[in-house]
This record gives sequence, structure tokens and C-alpha cells, in this order.
Amino acid sequence: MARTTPFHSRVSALCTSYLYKDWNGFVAVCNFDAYSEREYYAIRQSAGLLDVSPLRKYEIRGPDGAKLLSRVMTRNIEKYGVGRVTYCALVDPFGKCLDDCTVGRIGKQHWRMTSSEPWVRWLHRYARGLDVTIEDSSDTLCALAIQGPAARKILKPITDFDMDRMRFFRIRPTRVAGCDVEISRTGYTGDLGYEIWIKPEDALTVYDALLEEGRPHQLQPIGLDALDVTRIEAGFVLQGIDYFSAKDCIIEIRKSTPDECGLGFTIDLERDIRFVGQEHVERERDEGSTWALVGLDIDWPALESLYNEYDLPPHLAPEACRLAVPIFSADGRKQVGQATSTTWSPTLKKYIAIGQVFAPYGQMGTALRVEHTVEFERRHLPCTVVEKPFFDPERKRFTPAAAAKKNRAKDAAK
Amino acid sequence: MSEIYDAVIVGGGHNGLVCAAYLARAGRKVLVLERRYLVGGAAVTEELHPGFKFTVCSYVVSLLRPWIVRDLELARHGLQIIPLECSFTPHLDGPGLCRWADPHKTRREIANFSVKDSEIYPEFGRAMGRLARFAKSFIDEPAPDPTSFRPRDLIQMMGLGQKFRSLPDDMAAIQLKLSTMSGVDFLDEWFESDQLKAPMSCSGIIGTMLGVRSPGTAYVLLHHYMGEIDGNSRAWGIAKGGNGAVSEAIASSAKAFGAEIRCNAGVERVLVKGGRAVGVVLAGSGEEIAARNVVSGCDPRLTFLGLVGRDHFDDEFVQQIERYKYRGSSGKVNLALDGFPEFTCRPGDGAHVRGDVAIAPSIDYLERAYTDAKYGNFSKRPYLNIVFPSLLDPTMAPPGKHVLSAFVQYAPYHIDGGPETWPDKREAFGDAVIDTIAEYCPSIREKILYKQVLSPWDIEKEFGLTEGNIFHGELSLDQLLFQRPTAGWARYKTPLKGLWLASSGAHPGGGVMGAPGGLAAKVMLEQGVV
Amino acid sequence: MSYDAIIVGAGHNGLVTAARLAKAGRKVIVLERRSIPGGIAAGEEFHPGYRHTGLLHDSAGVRPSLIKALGLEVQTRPVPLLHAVNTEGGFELGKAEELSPYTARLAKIRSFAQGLLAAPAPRIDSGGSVWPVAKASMSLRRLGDKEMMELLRIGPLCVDDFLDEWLKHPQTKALLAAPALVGTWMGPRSPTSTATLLLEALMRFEEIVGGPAALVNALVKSVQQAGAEIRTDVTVERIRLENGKVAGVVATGGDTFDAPIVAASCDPKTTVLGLISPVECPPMMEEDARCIRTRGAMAKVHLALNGAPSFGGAFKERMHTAQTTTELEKAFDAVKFRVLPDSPPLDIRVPTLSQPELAPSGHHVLSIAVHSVPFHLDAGWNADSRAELWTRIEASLTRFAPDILTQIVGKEILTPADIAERYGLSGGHIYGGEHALDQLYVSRPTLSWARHSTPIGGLYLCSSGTHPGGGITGAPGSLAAEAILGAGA
Repeated sequence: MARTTPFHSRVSALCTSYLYKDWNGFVAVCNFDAYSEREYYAIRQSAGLLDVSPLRKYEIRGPDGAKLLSRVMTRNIEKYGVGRVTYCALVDPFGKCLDDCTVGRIGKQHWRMTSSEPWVRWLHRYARGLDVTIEDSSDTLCALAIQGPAARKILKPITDFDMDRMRFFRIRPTRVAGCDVEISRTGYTGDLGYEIWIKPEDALTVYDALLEEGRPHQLQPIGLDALDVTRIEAGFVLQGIDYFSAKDCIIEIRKSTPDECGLGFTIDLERDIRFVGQEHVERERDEGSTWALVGLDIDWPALESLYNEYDLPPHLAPEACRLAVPIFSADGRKQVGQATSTTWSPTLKKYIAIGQVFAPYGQMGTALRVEHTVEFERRHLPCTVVEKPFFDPERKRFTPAAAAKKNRAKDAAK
Repeated sequence: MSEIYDAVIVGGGHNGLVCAAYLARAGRKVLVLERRYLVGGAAVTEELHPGFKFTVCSYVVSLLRPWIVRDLELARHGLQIIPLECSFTPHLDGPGLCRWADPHKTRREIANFSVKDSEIYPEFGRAMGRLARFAKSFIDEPAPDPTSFRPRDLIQMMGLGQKFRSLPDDMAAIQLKLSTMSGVDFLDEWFESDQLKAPMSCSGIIGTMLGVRSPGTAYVLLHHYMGEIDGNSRAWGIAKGGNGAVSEAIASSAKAFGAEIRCNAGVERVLVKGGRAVGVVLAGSGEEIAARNVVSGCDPRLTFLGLVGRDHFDDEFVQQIERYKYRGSSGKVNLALDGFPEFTCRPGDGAHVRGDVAIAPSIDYLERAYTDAKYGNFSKRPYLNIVFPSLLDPTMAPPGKHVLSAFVQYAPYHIDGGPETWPDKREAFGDAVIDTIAEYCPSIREKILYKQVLSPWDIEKEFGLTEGNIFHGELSLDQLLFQRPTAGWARYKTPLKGLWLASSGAHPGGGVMGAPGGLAAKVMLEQGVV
Repeated sequence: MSYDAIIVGAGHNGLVTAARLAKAGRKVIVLERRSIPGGIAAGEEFHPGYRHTGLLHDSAGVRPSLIKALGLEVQTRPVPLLHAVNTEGGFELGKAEELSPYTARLAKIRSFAQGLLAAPAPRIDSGGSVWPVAKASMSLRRLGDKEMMELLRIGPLCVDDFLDEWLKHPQTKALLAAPALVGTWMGPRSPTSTATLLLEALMRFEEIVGGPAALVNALVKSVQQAGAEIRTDVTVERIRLENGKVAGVVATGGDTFDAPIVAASCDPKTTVLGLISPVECPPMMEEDARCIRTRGAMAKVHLALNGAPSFGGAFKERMHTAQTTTELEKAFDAVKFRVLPDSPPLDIRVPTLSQPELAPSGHHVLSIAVHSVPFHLDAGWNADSRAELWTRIEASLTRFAPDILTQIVGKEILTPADIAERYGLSGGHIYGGEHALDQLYVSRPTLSWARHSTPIGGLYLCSSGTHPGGGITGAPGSLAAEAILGAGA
């Protein structure tokens, strides 16, 4: 029996498909319509509004807040000043990934950590001897994500802070529709977007205001299925799909170090406080990883050709598939990994996937084969290891005020 | 008496029936002799009150070996197991604690008592599951023999050693702790809340004369995680029709393979001639039945000192069998109810009571229950494990009415004054149990239509279990594996040629597993004695 | 100041480690928080003119070979017989007739047990070589099939059941059971208490004349003669690490001492959770330390008497008032329920009977160990609970020595909380960690650090919280020294 978020009355009224799923014990919308295409296009062409309240959130306060977070995260949180947000990995004492998180510094002694799994016990364990308090705000703080090219335009008129000045991966307290919130320029779509952290009693006020303000900009409420397509395009790994939290793994081979699940870039070894699991991560860097996380570009002509054999049109479903399929070496003889998230990208016009392969097969440009079933027959499609993110628009990072400042400086220099 | 059986099985308990079925399946001529009017031993269903079926003693199924279910085609012979969906622990204040199959629901319930515990709970389950797989490698094979240098035995020991060393290091440490610690001490390393640890620690005290804080009770926690139904790990269930249906299915399978089963045919003694067991003598009629092998489905003391007699064994063996501890500590109260007795803390007959219900509000409560028994009294406020089979299986009671099966810890066989004083104390014991239930379900008394109270003394008299020990002997570290029932005789063979032990008094021990019976048959067939 | 090794705490094991390292040519300093060395083995004047010889009575666990190796200036003598106090004049435990088959039985495994306990514990996890385990198993097998199986059978038994197999007399049983339970969290009905009975009974040699206090004096001399330094009134606050390895220690006031090796003589839990900065502590090491069980259950009473009391008509150097194992079990119930025991059995030593100089002429010192007094008391330890404890102890005393109260001229009561505070022992546990099957031998203090080394390079543990366990033996200290020397540091 799942619980509902404060936004449920609004989203359930709009969810004509009745397609919900469980997200951390909460009811979450898969699609508002029977198919998620319209919502996907909303994200990429105008803006989408998503209830992300089921995320776990923790308020870390106190003089040793950064110490605690540096101890448990791959990033050196001590380096991050007020207003900055960073994406990082939580690792177990044996160097295996437990979760991927964001940490935002809201105030001098106030950090907010978000994650997909619950970590109260973990945080308390490593808070021993530190001057810090840990508050679980998972159920006492709700959140909305507004993502897409029109996101800034929609927020600007109803937000106190000048959104033209809000930079990528920043967080700040402000007011939206007269309600005290925090806004972070973060998201899971790889697009221009923001997340708004709202008190439950203000939830509907903010939601209604956003919908109202967003109407002329074609803002659409979106569900998790549309989100999935965009996050694959953005090359983001999803815990529980592309890698598995070590605490949930029954066998060792299923666990991944950050380097093995695409989170190696979050590791910052320049630090005073060693993070839990650091020695193992370092050792692996010396000895080599077992797995590598890869982005795959699946050969479209080969796909068309394959379906042609069956006298069928090619199946390019703009819905993400989380059914893991084997990845084989180029000669098709040896299974070398699995593709865990696959989707046709309408924006890129490519058939893309995220997967894990044995490290030697993870080099850029490596030719591989991925399984694809047509009419109950298991066939292979050629694919190539390519760079991630697959989709990385300029608008994701662009900040008008910063650009204007730069131009003014250029002009002044002339 | 002209025919000679390949094997006569003394006692139609579930292990005896399994042994008979396997031997019959291998084409042998087998006869099962059961004293009571029905087979099953302590796994029986009896209609003690018109329209109400009682699963009199054992009442849950989980460890019944999958290979036995498969080999004996028990599903075809009527075995159906209904899963118990949850574990409910009512409290005197607050809504109590219910742990569900749904992990989110469970997490929220546990979080009412401790958020930290709610987070680590699934991880604990996973660690236990991993170790349960390690433990299972012991129960589906005859006991290892550390004294033997025979290649096969050395390989088995090495194999076990390898399995241990192949456990990830943190698992190896946990395994060591599990084997030696008390249930509470072990749980203390993971959890902080008393209300969660109390019901979790209970599996360690089932059928033992130990408390939740006694060393040696941690490894039994693993039992809870070893259960599987239909390959679904950790599931516990009740058999449709009560545990008697399990025995009936095995009996049906045995008969289908050609075994003969006779009830109302108690065995008085084993016939010994020329230093070997050659048959049995029935009680009452004195009828002699010849057999090449006599297999006992009874516990060690009854078998060796009762059915055979101490004169047929050397002093050392007799001393070992006499030292083998029983110390029955469990009782059973079965009630026929005129309607469902609601729990004050969570009213209604909803999903929360369609699993098992444990009266275990705190660790001190459980320890006090043990303290009473330690000094010779039944627990004034006992640990109860209650199931309402009628909620899952409507055939157990008339519509709208219910049966309540309450397993009780503790009721010491060696009660103050001696076990023969139990009949005088039975009423008070039953009252203590019902008083305890009434604290949580105030309407219970007025709903009782029929009451059966079984003390360990009753269990001994009625079901032939020495000192009322439901496992045919304590499942303590000194009475397990190669020491069950005693060192040197832990592989079903006994010092008397032709006599075999295939009951819960043999490896791997008690519970409705069927493993002792099945493994005994396998060993007998392998050795070509039958 | 730079050293080859720093010993934190001058407990008797720390002194042994210091002496052995110094004799091997290392530059060693011992840093002790209190003003006197010796830890719980130190003798102290608890009342003007009256001294005791240490918190624990027993010093018969010190191996003759260790005394020799360190050149300790001590005398030894056979352990005086334990007098069983009762209302019929009592009796000498060692003289009980039915005891000899029992003693003979134990003797069969004496050398096996001593061999096991004298050697370092093998590694049984995947990282260890099979050879030491195989060696230990072989020595087990050399006992013969029957003996080996018998050992495996009795180990898990509770002492009540085990002793029932040999003895009938209730008080004899009680007094054989009692020492098995000291330092454990068990009662006579607790399974596996037979294992600790065997451990306790088989590690006995001759006792030191003058008790643990005399051992401490001799150790101090040995340490100093070997060239090591002992500094008292220095409280180590933190063990300094550099790149995850030991670099030295920091004391209160900021004094630093440098060394690549630190051997901690404080109990393992206190060492890891108290002396290592949390953000530097390896996570699994911290988790393992957190799980070490150190629930103290002993209080100590020192009485200064102006005469010789009569305990049921006797006054002997070693006396015990337990009557039955049920009494011991009930006393342990109090520990489980976190309350004070009703009238707890008393484990008494009268050192003045062999060392009259410990008190004025004709006066006596009674050193009383009161087991089953829980560190974790629901009511908490404060003036009221201490007073209540004394009332209960009085009840036990006057049960057999009705006139004793008039003879008391001074007393000291150390509750488990006092013991924790005075000696820096986690949970007030006299053995630095409970004796329990999962906290002994290959897993003392934990499975990962049972060979006196730890995951932190250069950090060693030498206290009774390590193999082979507690009591005044010096064995952990000696094995720790061997581990340090063997590591070629």
C-alpha cells in the first residue's frame, strides 16, 4: 500500500491513464496519457513538470557538516561553498557504490543531500565524534522538477530571485509564488531545468502557480516514463537499473565501484578526509576495474534491415526499455556485458543504450553486438561504444546574466 | 507371519513416512506401523470439536525439503501450502508492529520504532539469506564426520571448509558469531529497537529450554531465513488442511509406491536375535513381524532404551543416550472460536492477522518468560506464536468461526513437583495462556467454544515424544550434526545391526523437514542393506 | 621525542610488551594516565594503613616461562585452596573426594589447551594460510577421536549440565562453576560456559607471592632494567596517524610522542573508539570495535578490618560464599534485568593472611569481588545505587560473618562504573572484553584482528581484550610483543 505526495490531488486529476508505479513507497505517475511521447516532447521542446518528492532528502547541519559529507561521498564536499551543488557517489567500505546523490550547500552550515535510497543509519554511523545534526526531510519536504527550454521563462515572473542569474548546479533559498522554497538548477533530464524544494503546506500553491504561469509556454505535467527517455539521452545511470546498490546485491559480481558504473568522474582524491572505501577505489585504479560503463549507439540501418527480414517495419519505440539484454563481442561469440537502459531518442534520431561491459571492451569506438528480439527470435544488432552524454545542449549550462557579463567585459576590452 | 519386509518403520510420523516412501519408491517391501489411529505423529490434524479442525501440534510448513516435495510428488498427492503473509506483534499500547512481504510497508512500520532499524532490516535479511544458503548445504546431506579419514568424508569436510572460506570475509565473521552468540546479542549488532528485536529473537527459543539471551540461540535465527516455499526464500506457510495434510500427502505417496501403512498398530518392542534387529512385536496382540531392517521414527531414548532395551547396547552408548537432553519446554493451546477475537491495538480480521501473530512485546518480557521456566514453572506471561488457520483455509472451521493455534514457550516438562503433576497444573497453564491473549484480544474468553491444552507431559503421553520435546531432543550445539543423537552414530545407523534411526533425533534434527527420513533411506539404499 | 614503540597504558600486559620489546633492543616508552603503573593489577592503599594487592585476586595464570624470560623478581607458590563457606564450617574445595575424576578428566586436555592458548591464534578467513589452522586442527586430532569428540560435545554445554555429569555436591558444583563465569556475560545455565570453564581451569600455574601487585612491581623493574621508560600522569588523547599508518600519540596538554609502533594496553574498544579520530578510523574497524561486547559485571569491595572475622567458623585466604549454582544463576538474572542482585555470592581473598604487612598488626584486608553487579543498571550508577549495593553486600557478608560489620574500620566500594572510570575500561569490564566463544581465540577481540595487529599499520593491541584473554597472565602482552618483533618493525 503506497502513500501519496502532497501533489497527488493535482496529478491524479490529470492522470487519465491511471498508470502509476511505486517510487520509494509513494505513488508516482508513469504517464499521464496512455503513451509518454507528448510528455517527452514537452521536456525537450517546452517544459515538463514532475513531482520528485519521493527522493530521499537529508538536512545536514552544523560546523562539521562538510566533514561528514566528505567522509561518505566521493567528492570533497569541504571544497564547495555556499550555493553550490555537486553530484557524487556514496560508497561502501569495500569501495562499492551504494547510491548516487547530490549535495547542495544551502547555508554556511546547512547542506542538503538527496539520494534514491535511505541513508539515515549510514550518516549517523559516520557522524560519530562530529558536531553535526542529521534531519531526515524525505517526508517533510516535497519537490518539483521543471525541466525544458522554457523552464527559466516560466519561473522568472513568479520567483523572487532573478532566474537569469541562476547558474548551473547552484542552489539558493528564494520565494516562488510567495512561498519560501529553495531552488536548485539541477535535474535528471540533461536539459535546462530546476528543482524546487517546497514545504508540504505550500505544495499546491506552488504547483498551481507553475501550471498557470507555464500554460502559455506549453508546460506539461510529466511522468516517470518520459523522464526515463531523457535521462538515457543525458547518459545518466539509474541505481537499481544500470548499477546496483552494494547493499542490495546478493552476489559480489553484481556490485560496482564508481569507476565501474560511470561515476568515476565524481571521485576527487584531493582531500583531507578520506572517504569511506577510498583505499579500495584507489587500489582498483592501480589494478584495473572489472567492468566499464558504456554508452552505445545501436546501428539504425542494421535495425531496419533486421525487421525487414520479417517483413516488419522497424520498431523504434520512444519509450525507454529497462529490460536488460546481453551485449556480445563483435564476433557475437562471447557475452561481455549487458545493456540495461535502452531507448530510441527522438531528439537525436538514434537508438541508444547504457550498459556495463567487461573493461577491455569499454574503449571508445569498440564494436559490439547487442541482443534484440524480433518475433520471438533472439537476434543481434551491431553497436558502437560512444561518448556520453548522448545529448548535451548548450542551454543546459547557459546562464544569461553570466553571458551578458562576459560580453560586457569583452566589449569593455575592445 | 510368513512374509519378511525389507524394512519395518516404527512410527508413522512424517519422517518415518518419508523414509517409507523413498524405500518403496526404490522397489522395497515396506511396512509402517503407527500406534495412533492416524499417521503424522506430531504433524496431525484432528477434528476435536465438530466442524473444527485442529493442527494439533506442529502448525507451520517451511523447511519441508523441496527435493522431497519433488521426488514424492507431494503436490499430486494433495499437498497445498498457503503462504503466511506477515508477522504481527501486537502491543498493549500503540498499533503494534507488523512486518510484511511488501518492503516499503515493512520499512514504514519499523520506522515507527527506529528509522535506522528500518533501513538496515532488508540488509539483515539478505545477509541471513546468504548464510542460510551456506547452512542449507548441511541439512540436505548426512552429517559430516570430522573423525573419519575416509576419502569421501575428508572431501565432505574439505568441501564444507571451502564453502566457509569462500564466504565473503564479512559473512565469515557473521557466520562465526551466528554459531555462538545469543539471539539478542547478535541482533544488538544490527538493530536498536527493543520492539523489533523481541519478535525477531523468538525463533531462537522455539522448542528449547533457553532464553533469547542464552548463547547458542542466534544460529536458530537462520532457520527463519532458511524457509522456502516453491523456491520462494524465507516464506512460511500453513498446509491446507493443517499439518496433518502434509503427513497424509506423504502417506499417500508412500502407498502409491507400494508401502503398507497400518494404524492402531503400536510396536511394543524390537525383536533382537543374534545381535541384530530382525523385526518387531506389536503391543496388545503380540503379533511378530519379521523384517531385514527396523527403522525407528521415534526419538532416541524411546528407540534405544524403550523399544530395544539397554541390555542390547554397551554402557558407553547407553550413557550417551541417557545424556542426550530433551527438556521439553513447549506447550500448545488450540481453541475453537465463535467469531474472530479482534486485537485492540489493530482491530479487524484484516491482512495483519493472516500471518503469524507473536506475543513478544519486549526482550525483558521474553526473558522473564524463560526465567519462570528456568526455575520450574510455566511462564506466567508466555511467548506465544499464534496462527488463525481458518482465516487462510476456510475448511478448518465453519463459516464465520475460527480456530486459534497457539504455540507456547515456556512450559517446562520438568515442572516443580515433577512432570506427573502436570495434569493438576494444566488448567492453570491454559488460563495463563488465555489470560495473555486476552490482554490483547479482550473478547477471546467469551468466544471460546472448545479448548485443548497440551502440556509437554501431554505431548509425551499422546504423541510419544520424550519429555515433550518437539524436536526429539534439544537442538543445541552439542546435539547437532555429527553429535545427533551421539558422536559416532550420527548417520542413521545404530550400534544394533539392522536398526536405523530416521527421526528428528537424527541429523539434521527437528521441524517438519522430512530430511532425516529421506537421508536415512538414501543411506540405507546406498549401503545396500535394504 | 622519537621512539621505536609507544605503549599506551601501563597495565600489566602493557608492561610485559614493553619489557619484551626493550629486551630485544627497541627504544620504548610506556605512557600511563594514572599516577601509578599496573592498571587493575596495581596494589593500592585504599584506606590509611591498609593496602590491597590488585583488583583481581588471581595471579596463577602467569606462565613460568614468561617469568623466566623477563627475569621477573617474584616468588611463586601453589595456589591456596579455596575454602567453601557455609553454615556447617565449610570445607576445602580441593579436598572434595568426588573431585578427582573431574580433575583427571580436565588434565587430559591440559596440554592441548595450553598449547592453543600460548600460541598466536590462526587466521581462519580467506586471507589466512591454511597451515596454522591445519596445525591447530591436528593438535586437536592428536587427542584421539574419542577425546576430540568429547571436547566438541562438552564445549557447548552449560557448566550446570557439564558439572552434573561429574559431581553431586551442590556447593562443590557452585564453586567450580563460579570462576568459569567471571568476565563472561553468562550464568551457570548458559550454553558454552563450559568452554570458559576449561579456559579458566587449564591456564593455571603457581600464583605470585604478593599477588598481582608484586607482579607489577617486578614488571616495572624489568621494564626499567631493560632500558624502557615509564611515564605516569600522562593521558594519551589520540593516536596520530599519517597516511593511514601510526605516527605517534598526542597527550593532554599537547605533548606529542613519535613512533611507528603503538601498542595499546587499554582495552580494544576504548582504543579504537576513544583514541583514534573518527574520520580517520577505517570503517570496518570501527564497526568491529562497536560490536565488541564489554558489559562489565563486577564490583569490588575492599574492607579494612580491625580483627579476624569468622565466615561460618573459618577464616582462610581464599573463601567463596556461593552455595548452589541456582544462586549463581539468580545473581546473573539481576545482570540480565539490569538491577542489583539480591544477596550476591562473594569471592573473597584475604591477602593479609600471607602478607600481614598489608595492614596494621592483627588487622586484616578483605578483598571482595562481587560478581553479577551490572555496569548497565536501569537506575544508573550514583550515590543511591552505590549505597544500595553496599546494603546488598552487607546482607551477603552478615549471612556467614554476622559480626563483621563491627570490625570494619574502613572500606572502598568500586562499582562497575567506578572501575570503568578509574581504569579506563569500556563497560568496566575487567577483561577488556567479555569471554565468549565468539570473542576468544581466533576472534578475540574480533575475527579480523585476533593476532594483536590491526588494520592500521603500526597499531597493535596488547591488553587482556586480545588473545588469549583476561585475568592476570601477561600472555596477551607477550604475544603482542612477538607479533611486533615478528613483523620486523
